[in-house]
Amino acid sequence: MILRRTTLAGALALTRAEIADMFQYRVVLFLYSLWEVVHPIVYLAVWGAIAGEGDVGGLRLSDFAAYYLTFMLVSHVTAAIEIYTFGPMIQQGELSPHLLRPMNPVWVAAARNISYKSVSMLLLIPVWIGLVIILRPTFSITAGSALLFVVALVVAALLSFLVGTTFALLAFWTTRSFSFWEIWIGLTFLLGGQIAPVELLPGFVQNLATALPMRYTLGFPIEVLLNRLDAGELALGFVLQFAWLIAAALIVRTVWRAGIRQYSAVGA
Amino acid sequence: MPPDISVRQLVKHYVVPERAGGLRASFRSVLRRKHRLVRAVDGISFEVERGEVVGFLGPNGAGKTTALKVLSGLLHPTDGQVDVLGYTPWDRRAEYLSRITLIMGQRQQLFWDLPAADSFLVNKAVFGIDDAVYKRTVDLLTELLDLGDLLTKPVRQLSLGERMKVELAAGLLHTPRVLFLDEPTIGLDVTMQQRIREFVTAYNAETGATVLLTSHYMADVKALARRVIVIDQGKLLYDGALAGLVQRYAPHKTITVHLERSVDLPDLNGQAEVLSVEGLQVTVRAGKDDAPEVTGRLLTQLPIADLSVEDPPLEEVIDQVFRGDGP
Amino acid sequence: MRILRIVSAFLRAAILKETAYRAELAGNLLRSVINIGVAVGGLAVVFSHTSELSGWRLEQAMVLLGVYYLVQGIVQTALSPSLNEVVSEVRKGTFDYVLLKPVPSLLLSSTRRFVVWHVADVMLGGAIIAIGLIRLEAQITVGIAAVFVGVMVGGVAIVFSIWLALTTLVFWFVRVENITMIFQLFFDTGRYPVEIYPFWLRQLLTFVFPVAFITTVPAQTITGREPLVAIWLAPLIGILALLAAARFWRIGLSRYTSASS
Repeated sequence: MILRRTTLAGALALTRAEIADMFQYRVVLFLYSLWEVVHPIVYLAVWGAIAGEGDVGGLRLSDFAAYYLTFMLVSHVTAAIEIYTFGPMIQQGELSPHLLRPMNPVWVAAARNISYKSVSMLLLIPVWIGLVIILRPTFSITAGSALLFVVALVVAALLSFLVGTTFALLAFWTTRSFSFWEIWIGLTFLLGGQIAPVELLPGFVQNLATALPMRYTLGFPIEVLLNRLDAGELALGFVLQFAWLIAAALIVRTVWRAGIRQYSAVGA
Repeated sequence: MPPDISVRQLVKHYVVPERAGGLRASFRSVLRRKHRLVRAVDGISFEVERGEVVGFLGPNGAGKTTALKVLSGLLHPTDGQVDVLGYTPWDRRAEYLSRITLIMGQRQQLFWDLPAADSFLVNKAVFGIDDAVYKRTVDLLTELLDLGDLLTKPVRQLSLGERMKVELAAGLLHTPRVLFLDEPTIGLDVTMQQRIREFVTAYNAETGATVLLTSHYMADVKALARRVIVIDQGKLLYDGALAGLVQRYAPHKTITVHLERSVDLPDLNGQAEVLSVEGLQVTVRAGKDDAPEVTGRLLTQLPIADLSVEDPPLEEVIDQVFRGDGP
Repeated sequence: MRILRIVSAFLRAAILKETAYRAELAGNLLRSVINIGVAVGGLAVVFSHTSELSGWRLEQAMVLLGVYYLVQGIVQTALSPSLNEVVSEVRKGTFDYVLLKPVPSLLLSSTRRFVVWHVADVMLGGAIIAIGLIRLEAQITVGIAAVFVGVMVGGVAIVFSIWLALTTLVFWFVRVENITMIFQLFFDTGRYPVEIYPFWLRQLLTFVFPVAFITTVPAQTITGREPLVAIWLAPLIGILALLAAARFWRIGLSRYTSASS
């Protein structure tokens, strides 16, 4: 896909309009944001109850607080919503108007993703600041880790978007794409740093988590920011994150092309 | 100058799963699906010259919409060649998409909660429209469609007809050279249908754009298209002037007479059939070839105040065509 | 008896509809298995670092998780489909048809739709409870079982009441389609024993938004743990909640102005 100048301008204009549109739904968005607050709090409570005054695998209560508070923001930035936005568009035949424009409809999904996050982030931040005051985490952040964090976070968001888009595109062939997506969600829960930081996973599961892509959409940026990784782990992590990003981009391109062929063969 | 649209032996078949009703049948269909081949478009050819307005007619499921979707690049045909403005539509080249538009009934691409002006700006960017050209086009469309302040109201507050006008405008911002209109007046009230018709005529005159439109409403076709293409079950039945369609397919004429006083009707020799007698107004129907003779006889044998000979309504003619009992 | 006939007619229709799409059914069952498998996996990860979580052993926490899925399954089979329908009907104005039927509106509104395949969650939840109890080598007497059932019924009554109350809000605020998310938000805290939460949150989840009575208390009764509160409170709160919610429904109904469109 060659990036045309008008494509970029179009995507920008689309994002602006989407943001204006999103503001109409702030109450719903606020509820969705709360969702992203409740789950980390539950995990934090679990690990807090175990750690008590001591530690679990070297992590103290305040470390868990830092991990799961960072988690709230990271999971928000990297959330993939394409199965709810792009998938139904394909299923309900709403793709046609977008196909008539000289711009790949994946940009429509991207614009919606960005606008959803920027609006709901505004609602989430005050809640988050309140929680930081209550939970008193110790963030062990350095300038270097913050810088690397930004890179890891951006790549994680991109990777997550591409994964979400891939699952949404399955709607070209099946009405059950949501079930496949739930499998991904389940794996991310276990291996992505959700139920526990990846470093607390038992031996071979931890290796699995390092190799598979889920951690690179969620847990990895948190570990980078909080300095939980040594130089070797950091290097390996970035190599694998970029590798998965490239793989995901190729997969989306292939699936999109096959999907559009299917769409234009059986009827729009 | 080559024609804007050239379609040769276009074929589009679908395979659709079939399922009988009932619990047992649905269980069986999980195991063994039956399939059926739908010949939505089955070998049609036609050409449309630059600036022509052509009506695309046919009953529901005739393949009109499928054909339009192939022409606008949404569907791959099963077979055949299509050339629009020198492009093959389903290559979906950006340059091609920038030169055409497809407007489908209520299928909207506008942001529901935002004023249409915001959606317009998105299209402006997507199609890479210059500021000056954009302004000129919006002014023209506002004038032709009488948009007034509709562009600044959230789309959800617009009535059905207003939304259709705005939708039309959105689809025309990039001043396409070829317009595919699929049921542009469906669900609108009579006044609004009229307005949309006038707009399409004016737009065609103003910009010289080529228009291919489908509609349920014969009034649309009568007002807009001098030429019609009739398809049924995927096959082309007729391609030519609207008047010719009536000539060819209308099997009879309707003769209405106003009598000066009440008298018995003469023997019509079995050449005509009396449709109604309402007071002094008598309506009879005669075969096309017999009409002159019947008229003559009525004129000589009855005290006539007024007489008119008309073709049957277009709807009736079309109906005749589709039932296949025309000549 | 007429009520029973009506409900069973709705149920029958739902079963027929569901079995008509066997492929869907298989997909949905697989989904339930994965969901619950992942949740148990999460417990295993947590308990790889500890032998007890706020006094709960792995097997006891499993029983609690089982109770969670059992209730979740009941909600999604029998409660949420009907009540969600109410929300959309009030918005569209078609709720009129419900009121025109010669059946109490609350009954009709809460028993019209069933999504049968969620029964899988109920069964899998039951299976996890059973596995947990077997590994605990718990002695389940008829008495304990009876108390457990009583407490569970109380819990489901509380869930129904909360859900009904949230739904009733539609009579005031037409755009509440996502309000029931609030329930799920709180309910998700019930996957783990309420004791893990800090004091204030525990109070909130016990007395204000009584998730504790829905999962923690039933799991305690049957795994023989120290009760959090007097057990007879559970059915009592259930009954009180039901009465309050039904009263609220009637108030809401009196506010109903059918959308004139």
